Amino acid sequence: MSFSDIVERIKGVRGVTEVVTSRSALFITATADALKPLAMEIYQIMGGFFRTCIGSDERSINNCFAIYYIFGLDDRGLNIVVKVYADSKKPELPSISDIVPASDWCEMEARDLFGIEFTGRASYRLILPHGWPNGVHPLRKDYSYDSRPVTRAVSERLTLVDTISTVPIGPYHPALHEPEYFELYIEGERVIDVKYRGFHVHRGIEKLGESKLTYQQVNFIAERICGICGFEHSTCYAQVVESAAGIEVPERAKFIRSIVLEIERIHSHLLWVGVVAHLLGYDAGFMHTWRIREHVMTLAELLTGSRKMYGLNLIGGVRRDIDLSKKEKILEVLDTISKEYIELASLMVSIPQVRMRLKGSGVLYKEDARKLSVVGPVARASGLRRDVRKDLPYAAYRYASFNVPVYDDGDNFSRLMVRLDEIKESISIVKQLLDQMPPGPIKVEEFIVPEGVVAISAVEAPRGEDVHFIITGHGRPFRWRVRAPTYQNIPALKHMLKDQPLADAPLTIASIDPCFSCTDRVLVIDSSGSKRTLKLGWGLG
Amino acid sequence: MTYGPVLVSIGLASVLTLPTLLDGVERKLKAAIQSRIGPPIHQTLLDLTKLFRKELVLPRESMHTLYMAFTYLSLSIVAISSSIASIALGSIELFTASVILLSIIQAIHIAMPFTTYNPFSIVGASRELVLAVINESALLITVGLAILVNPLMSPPSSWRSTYFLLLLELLIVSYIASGRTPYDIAEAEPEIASGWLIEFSGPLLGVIIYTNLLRKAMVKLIVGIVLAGLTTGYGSMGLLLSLIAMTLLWVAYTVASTIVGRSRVDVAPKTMIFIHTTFITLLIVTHVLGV
Amino acid sequence: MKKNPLSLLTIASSKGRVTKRYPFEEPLMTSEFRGKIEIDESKCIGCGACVNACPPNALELLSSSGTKTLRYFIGRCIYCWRCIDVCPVGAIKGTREFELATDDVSDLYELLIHEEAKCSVCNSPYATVRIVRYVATRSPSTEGYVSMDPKCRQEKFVKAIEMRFGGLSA
Ligand code: SF4
Ligand code: SF4
Repeated sequence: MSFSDIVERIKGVRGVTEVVTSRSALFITATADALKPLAMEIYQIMGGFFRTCIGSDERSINNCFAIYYIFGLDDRGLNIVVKVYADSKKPELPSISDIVPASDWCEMEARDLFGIEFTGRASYRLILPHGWPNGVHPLRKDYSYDSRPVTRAVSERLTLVDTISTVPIGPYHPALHEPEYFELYIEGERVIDVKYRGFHVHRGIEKLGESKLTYQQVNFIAERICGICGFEHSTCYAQVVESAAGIEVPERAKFIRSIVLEIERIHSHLLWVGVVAHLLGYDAGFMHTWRIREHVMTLAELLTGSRKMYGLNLIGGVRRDIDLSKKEKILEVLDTISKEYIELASLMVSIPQVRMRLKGSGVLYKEDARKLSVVGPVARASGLRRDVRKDLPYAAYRYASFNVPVYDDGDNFSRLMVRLDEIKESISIVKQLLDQMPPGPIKVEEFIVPEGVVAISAVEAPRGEDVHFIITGHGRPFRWRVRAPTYQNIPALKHMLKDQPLADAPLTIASIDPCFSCTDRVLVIDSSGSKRTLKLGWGLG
Repeated sequence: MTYGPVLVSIGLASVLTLPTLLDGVERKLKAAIQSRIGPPIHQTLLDLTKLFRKELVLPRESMHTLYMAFTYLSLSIVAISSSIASIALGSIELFTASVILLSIIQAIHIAMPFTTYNPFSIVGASRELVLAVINESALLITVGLAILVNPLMSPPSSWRSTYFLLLLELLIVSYIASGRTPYDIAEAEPEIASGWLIEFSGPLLGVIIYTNLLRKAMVKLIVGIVLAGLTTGYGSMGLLLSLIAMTLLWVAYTVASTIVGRSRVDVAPKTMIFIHTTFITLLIVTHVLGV
Repeated sequence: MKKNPLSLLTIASSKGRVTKRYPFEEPLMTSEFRGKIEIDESKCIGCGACVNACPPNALELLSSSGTKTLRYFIGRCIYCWRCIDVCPVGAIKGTREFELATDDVSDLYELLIHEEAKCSVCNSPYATVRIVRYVATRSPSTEGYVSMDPKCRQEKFVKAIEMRFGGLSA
């Protein structure tokens, strides 16, 4: 299917009112009736993936609510954004979750936070706590950032079924030490169903966003969305604003971003390998992986000023350069870790318990992975060749040649192997980029961000693709939405845990390398709806 | 034998204190293998002192735990004393009694979490139960055979392959009974079953930890006693050898458990049944054939 | 590379111990580490540029009668050093200090008090004395205006224009 065919097919759907094309995206405006046929066309016929959907309160501009659905045709590096308006008095849209199962969560998120109802599906509360009053939708513009509704604590024991036993996992620290709650229903030692309740760490950063934050400040908060792969979020945010404002980032800055992104991937994967060793009772493996990881952490500090929370990105470039002595240090560290980690990885795989427990457990079949549009190593371990670095190249990835490791078994072992292989690739990417790094400035100092522009950016984080979506506003985003990779992967856990032994459950949960605080993230940073003329036309990203 | 009581007291004193230090050695050794500095060797002693200084907190709705903990402690002391006495004095009856007591102690060890009403400790304990039933049967059979082949606790005139097999099987049984990886599945899946000790704290936890150490020492001591019976015979040399064997085994088990991972709860019993039946069959066959 | 579980022992012995007896030994830290900031009292002019840039609101400019206080709360600081980037007079310096835990929260506040300049016309406070001096030395031509608050300044300016064009209110 050629590009013009795609445009033609989409234009052919009844109810599509506008199609705007740009370099890497196709922006479509459609009526509510066209939503399902469009989803069918893009998701089922063209084989696109679903990135997320975003609610937005645009009543101050066009007297409507709106939802943006982002699809991705990965194989041709194209984003397709479908915008649908919903009535301001009684916002209601047809649900597409029957066609696109991956849209389940984002629809519920829009329902919780904007009060947009979705017809044709079962609705439930996803994000707001159960004690939150009905009809209060915190992301609407008429909800001021400092109002605190009266909430009452409600016990959230999900379902009590007498005939089967329930094993609660969490809410304190399932697998990784973050607050989420799983309820496993078991028969004997088999898991027969799973319920998930998350979003306990909703950090309400929108308050800050509405009262204080500026475009540059948001960057530092964006980095704090995730404690392990924050730099991906800050890069993704910087890129989305740069794309909205049409800022040309200097090449050298792009190289530095890619290099640091890969360094972060190495430390993140090593962290995960350590955690898995620990869950397998192989604590020596845990300690030694983290010993190796420590070299990477120190290196990150040398390059950025901090082991974690690098604070390196600004909109327009980066803040610290990589000079010759730092370059040498990077090469030296990469040499040490590549030797040491290959040694340790082959050792770990030789431990009988490690092999036995990972092989064949927590299987996610390719069809399920596709249906849920899972991302990152989880997708690649289930035979889906998806990697934003290849599909929608950003920063300096087009200058590096690397493989995207794909395994077909979909089990925990495949997910381990994907990550082990990726460490190798990352080391090679960093070396290649260091060799080719062009001289020049590392940031653009002056720029203006026009208002009312829509842009999307995606970055391949260690856990999968991060997606940032923005509608620019006056001095700060009008709407900023973050979709962390784990948000996309958690729904797949249901498939992975079902019919598996209970003993494998924590391991399987850990195998998606969940980052719950990412998933719960900040939800949104919106500006207050003060008087302003905002024309929400399509920005050309 | 007038020095008998003296010998027993010395043996007893060392077997009651050594385990805390050996646990410290275990922690230090583990740390070394993991490239860490690790705690000082007397850390376990410090931990216990600290626990005994805290207030007594009982698990919810449960006085049983307290009674059980003290039965656990006193039975362990009795068991370990009688095994020390058995090798010092050459009494196979005392040895038999101590092994039977050990089984009872293992049973209490498993039963204790059931008094706490905590789902996690109960999950942990029920997992342990499966393992223990298999392993304890193997222990009793093997020790029975040991008594059969060397009832006098004195060195035989010539060595037979039965003896080697016997020691080997005893080693396996005692390794598993000491609750180390890959068979520490009561502690398994750290987040689902956060170990069965989860409900205990303060002096109660101290008593349980200390008794556990005694139990761990005891399962190693048994191997040492059978070995001593077959080599040096009973008496002061036998006692010394059993204590040395216990110490060395502690170190060896530590290294072994550090370099492997944990088995899965449903796989562990299967592998265990396989190993035990193979060994016991071989043992009986060689014994009957007299080779 | 084929390995077996025992090779862990060789790895361990070749690597030795990597942990440190911190705090008795030097912490692992590179020359590039960003720690707490230090504001040079003699240089700061109280302009508030750092306050506007600080992402977590660790720096605040508080007004009270006759003074403007720049307050640095270490408890909120994320050590991003954005304040250093934006300070027009280079008053802020980064340090490598990070051992900042304390049992007294007042240790975490640093205050820098500026005298407030009063408008020469209406006598209401509008900036710090030092800003006024700073602006005056930087661009002497503004001298006639710099001693007033923005409102009076605007009025004076409007009057001047009106006068030039023959306005009535001369
Ligand atoms: S930016 Fe510099 S001069 Fe201005 S208030 Fe801050 S420290 Fe003082
Ligand atoms: S270092 Fe960053 S957080 Fe701390 S005061 Fe400066 S700008 Fe604020």
